Amino acid sequence: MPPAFFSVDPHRGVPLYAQLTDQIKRAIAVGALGAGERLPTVKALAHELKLNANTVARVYRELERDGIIASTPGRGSFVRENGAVGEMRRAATDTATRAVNDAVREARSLDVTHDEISAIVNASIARWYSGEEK
Amino acid sequence: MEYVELLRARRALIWYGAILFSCVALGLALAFKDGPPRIQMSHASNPMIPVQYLLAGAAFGPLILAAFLAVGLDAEYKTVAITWTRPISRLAIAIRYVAVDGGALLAAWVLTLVAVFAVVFAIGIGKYLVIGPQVGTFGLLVFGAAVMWYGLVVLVTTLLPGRGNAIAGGSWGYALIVPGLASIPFPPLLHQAMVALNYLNPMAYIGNQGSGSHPLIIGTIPQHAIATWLIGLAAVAIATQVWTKREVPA
Amino acid sequence: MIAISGLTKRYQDVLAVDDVSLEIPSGSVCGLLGRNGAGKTTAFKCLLGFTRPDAGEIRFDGEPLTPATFLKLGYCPERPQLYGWLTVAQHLEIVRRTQPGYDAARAKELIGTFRLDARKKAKRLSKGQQTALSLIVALAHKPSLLILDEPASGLDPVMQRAVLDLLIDAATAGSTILISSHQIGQIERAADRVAIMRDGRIVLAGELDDLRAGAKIVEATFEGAIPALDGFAGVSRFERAGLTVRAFANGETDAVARHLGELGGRGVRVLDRNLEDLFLDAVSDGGTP
Repeated sequence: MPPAFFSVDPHRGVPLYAQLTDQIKRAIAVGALGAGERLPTVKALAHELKLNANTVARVYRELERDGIIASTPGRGSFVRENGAVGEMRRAATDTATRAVNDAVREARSLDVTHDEISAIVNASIARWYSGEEK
Repeated sequence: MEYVELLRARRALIWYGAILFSCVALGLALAFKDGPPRIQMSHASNPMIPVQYLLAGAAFGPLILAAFLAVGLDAEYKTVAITWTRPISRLAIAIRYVAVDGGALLAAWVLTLVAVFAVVFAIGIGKYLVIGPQVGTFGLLVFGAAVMWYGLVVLVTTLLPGRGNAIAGGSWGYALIVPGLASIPFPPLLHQAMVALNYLNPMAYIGNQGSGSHPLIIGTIPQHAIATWLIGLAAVAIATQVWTKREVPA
Repeated sequence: MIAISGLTKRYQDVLAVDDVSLEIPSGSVCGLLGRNGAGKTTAFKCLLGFTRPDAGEIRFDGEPLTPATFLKLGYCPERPQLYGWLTVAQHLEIVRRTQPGYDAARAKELIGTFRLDARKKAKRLSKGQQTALSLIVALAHKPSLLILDEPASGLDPVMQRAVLDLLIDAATAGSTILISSHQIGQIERAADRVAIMRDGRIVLAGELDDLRAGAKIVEATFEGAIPALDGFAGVSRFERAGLTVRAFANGETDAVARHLGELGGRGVRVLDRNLEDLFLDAVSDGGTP
């Protein structure tokens, strides 16, 4: 049983390792995976998600390289204590950056002006961040 | 891998044995219908039944099974996914197959001989049995005929893959028709060809040993015994070699 | 590991397999895709020694094929090749007698997975059950090299899932698997690399995730007329529909998107391409990337 729900869609054109990496980062970002929490083994997660183990291993390798998890031979992989908070932040901003970039790029190509897009973004911020300190 | 052929041979022997047993049982039941049969061997002053007639008669068993068992090796070509993915060399597979078949032919002969002797003694004519000269050689000859039949069918089916049953059936046609063709007064050259075909006919080697008024093929019993075994074993040797080099078609 | 280099097989004047090279490392599942007649089955026949290739070299864990290779190699044929008159149990007996690595417990487990009746004769099995029995015969000695030609044909979705499980678990345990299938969904999950064959040649091969990551479509719509599409790097081809252009990009898409924008393109968006798209593209006429 994985510690959080992961589901990858192999039929999408997005690489499976990217899908899974995103989901693990997101699970850390929203707190579904806490600092020090143990991740399932590569085999177990591959079996669970019906994915090739090489794909899962690649995800773990990249997460480890980015300092998000630590793997100890024989003990498994854990969400890093000190890394978790920072990576939570980074995972969150990564996700946000990508979403905003896609939106702005499309807006630009639709001839939405600089002022208009600023207004849209500010309105969106005002809507979702109402009553919060900056 | 010879396990499959073992099962095939067992199945064939069970069928053959069952039919043989029913025939013998039926025959004996009819013979004993009105009490023990009284058989008069009256046509001669000193009646006798040469044992080699019984040996030849019992060769019927292996002769029937020869063609049937011989198609087994070729049939493996429909299951190469299993047969040729064993960690055993193909030659070893083929040799084991042939060995199983040889054993089955021998078993069929012994089985038939037992049945024939049982009948002979049951109806009370056992006392007329005589062991003639060359009985051992003759035994080798009649079994050699079955070996030859087996070998030729194995060879032809291996050369012409996937037509096993047609070839096995055709071998019977060959065995029965070719002697007749040799007695038709064809023009000399064709006649000689027809006669020559009989040298590849196992039946000709057995049928030739009777009164011999009009011998199909020349030669003595020992020569014929050697010929049947040589032809049979050579055919098997070539067939197993060909089989190992066979390719699955496109 | 399975390594194929320069494999060529000619039937009369048809090149069934044309200079195919492919390397599948241990623990990897390689999906071999292609339309019927593309040469997949012929390639398998060469690998297994059922037919002699005209050229090329094939190595299993570094060694050429010998009878001993089959101690660790399992094969499931495209169409079941079973002894119709033998039972399921007798088929396994063949394996038990010939494979020292035969695992009775494993065989029993697999029979249970596919709900086969061990006493049934092969000719009495349904098409799917025959496929299942072929798979069990291929797997019962726990081979580390697997060659599977359409191992899911005729299976119901639940059993297809079971096959998927088998493959993933075998690969996780370090097996090398070469599998051909028309079911792209199955390949998408189980395989970590693919090779696409067309007319005997491999037209696209690589790690599946790299192919997914590299192949994108950048779409843009123009006003009035589509301008000359010059100066694009990393675009294999363009497709046009009315005033909309699709650029098939391999790799970085930002530059392509920006360039299309500079040419006056509107509604620029980046579309992902899945394996099915890549496959159809590779095997369609004139679409070789």
